[in-house]
Amino acid sequence: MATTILRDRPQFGTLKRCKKIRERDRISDLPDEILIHILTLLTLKEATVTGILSKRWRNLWTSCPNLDFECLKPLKLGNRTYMRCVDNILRQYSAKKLHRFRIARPGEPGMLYYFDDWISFAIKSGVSELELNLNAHPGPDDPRNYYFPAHVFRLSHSASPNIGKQFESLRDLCLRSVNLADDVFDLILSSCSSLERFTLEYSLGLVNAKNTAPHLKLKSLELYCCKDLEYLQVLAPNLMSFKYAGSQKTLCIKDAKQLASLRLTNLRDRSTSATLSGAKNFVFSQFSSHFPKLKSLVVSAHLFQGMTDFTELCVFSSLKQLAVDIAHVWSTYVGYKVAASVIRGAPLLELLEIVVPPFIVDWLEYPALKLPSMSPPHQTLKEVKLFGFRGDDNTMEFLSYLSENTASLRKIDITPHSTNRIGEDLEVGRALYWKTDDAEHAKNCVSQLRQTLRVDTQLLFRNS
Amino acid sequence: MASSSTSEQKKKIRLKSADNELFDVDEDAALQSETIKNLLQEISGDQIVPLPNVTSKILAKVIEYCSNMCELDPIISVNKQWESFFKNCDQDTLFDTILAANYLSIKSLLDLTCKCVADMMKGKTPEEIREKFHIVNDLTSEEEAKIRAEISWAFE
Repeated sequence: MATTILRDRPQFGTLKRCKKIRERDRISDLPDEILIHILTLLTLKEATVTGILSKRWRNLWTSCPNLDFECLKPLKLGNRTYMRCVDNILRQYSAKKLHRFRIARPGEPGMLYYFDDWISFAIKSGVSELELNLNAHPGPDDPRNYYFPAHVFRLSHSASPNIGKQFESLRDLCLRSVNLADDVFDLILSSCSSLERFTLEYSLGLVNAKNTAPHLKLKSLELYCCKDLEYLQVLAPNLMSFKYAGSQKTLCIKDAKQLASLRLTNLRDRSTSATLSGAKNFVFSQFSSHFPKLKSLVVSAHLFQGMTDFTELCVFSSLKQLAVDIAHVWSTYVGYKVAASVIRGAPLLELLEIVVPPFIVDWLEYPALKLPSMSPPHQTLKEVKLFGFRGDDNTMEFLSYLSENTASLRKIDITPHSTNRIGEDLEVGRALYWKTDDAEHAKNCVSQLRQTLRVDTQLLFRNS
Repeated sequence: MASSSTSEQKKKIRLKSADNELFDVDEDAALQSETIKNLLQEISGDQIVPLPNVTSKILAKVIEYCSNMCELDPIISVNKQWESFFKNCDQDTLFDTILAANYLSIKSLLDLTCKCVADMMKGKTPEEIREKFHIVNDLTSEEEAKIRAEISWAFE
């Protein structure tokens, strides 16, 4: 037992104390607010451990404004231990204002009741950033399905008007693998008037997502893989960023006049050439009015499959960053056509990111892109990042096209690793799956490219 | 890390440390401190700004930092140099700078120095932290055992 080990310690401690008497303990003299600031830079686990340093430190960690339970993950605690642990921390917690609350834990049956309590706790403590990640991709019949509890909002509404103020502190809400009913979507937006960022990933149950009253603070809305969604209509006149990954549904954010950042990507597994017949409409009819004002755009190439007149894309007059995800080999050609047309009509573009599938297939032809040259050459494009490089004909043609038609290109950054856009992040795979002759081919392509580039353009090839 | 030569035209602010040493500082460097900014609004004209909570040794460092932040570009590499300075300096300098940055309200310096302390604590056992910072454990063994039991998960 721990106590028996400890019994020997005081003597040892006293000896040590005598020896160290000259060295002053400066850290414990710092005011509480600074010590708490230092503790917030540690993980919750590391901060908690400082409770045992001395009397001075005993309760300091309980005042940290952040509760991020991510640090429990590597401990691989069983469900009961995990729940006891979180409950224990929440019982001791004493900060006046909770800033960030984050739980990442598979939502297994028996745990769900506790999630309700923890969310209530966070909301009652006036949390600003709330993230709940149940770490799973539950199917419709999965018993782990957890719905975001509406009652945390409803209870407070019926109680005194002051309690409703708790929601005013919520600025960032992120729910991953947490399901959401249609009315709760509206309830969240109508209750949390300060909400600036709202992210949903793998949230089932959301079919018709609508808010009834315009939300004035919402700046960023992100929906990833919400597979039940049919219709989205959000009234948020100050929305700056809209990111959507999913199938082609009705997405209506029409009154967002300041929209500067847009992402429209399709899921990789579901979409085939056949199901994409209305894809162009999905993009153009719903978002074309935003195109001239966008500063950042991320799109899946195959949404433009079947498009013949690419000049319709020469309209992004404010664009600074463009990313084109070529998720399928058959959309390689169209992907580069799209990229080239956007660049042509985007005089301010600085960064281009292309993700290609990391293989060349022999059943597919890569017809020449035949891109029209630009005169004068593009003046602002500085950097091109290419992921999944294998040296197919289209990629090679596109890169030499860029080198010939840009005046400002300084860097081409080539990664041969397989890369996926997951949620907000671009995940670059670690391993390289290629045969010896593929590797040789890619290397040859890079050295070929190196010869055609201007001397002031740096070429990086990350093949390790 | 020495501040580079500055042009004569720049407006200077005169600061006085706790030990009555005077420092002439470029205005834009001095204004990184919210406290000095506020004090300047209270006192008139070319008066000296008294800083009774900061010794000359620490004030010199703080001024060097603020001047660096104004002049040098890119800031990231300068920040790295300062980070390595604070990680290797003696604890008196580190903690006095934290107190000075807090009193003078220079957020970037406070963040940087606090991060250095946090990095010194990371990955250490309580015993190692006590040793590093000369913290005397004044908990009785019963108290310590009780706390350890409460947060037993954190020791795994």
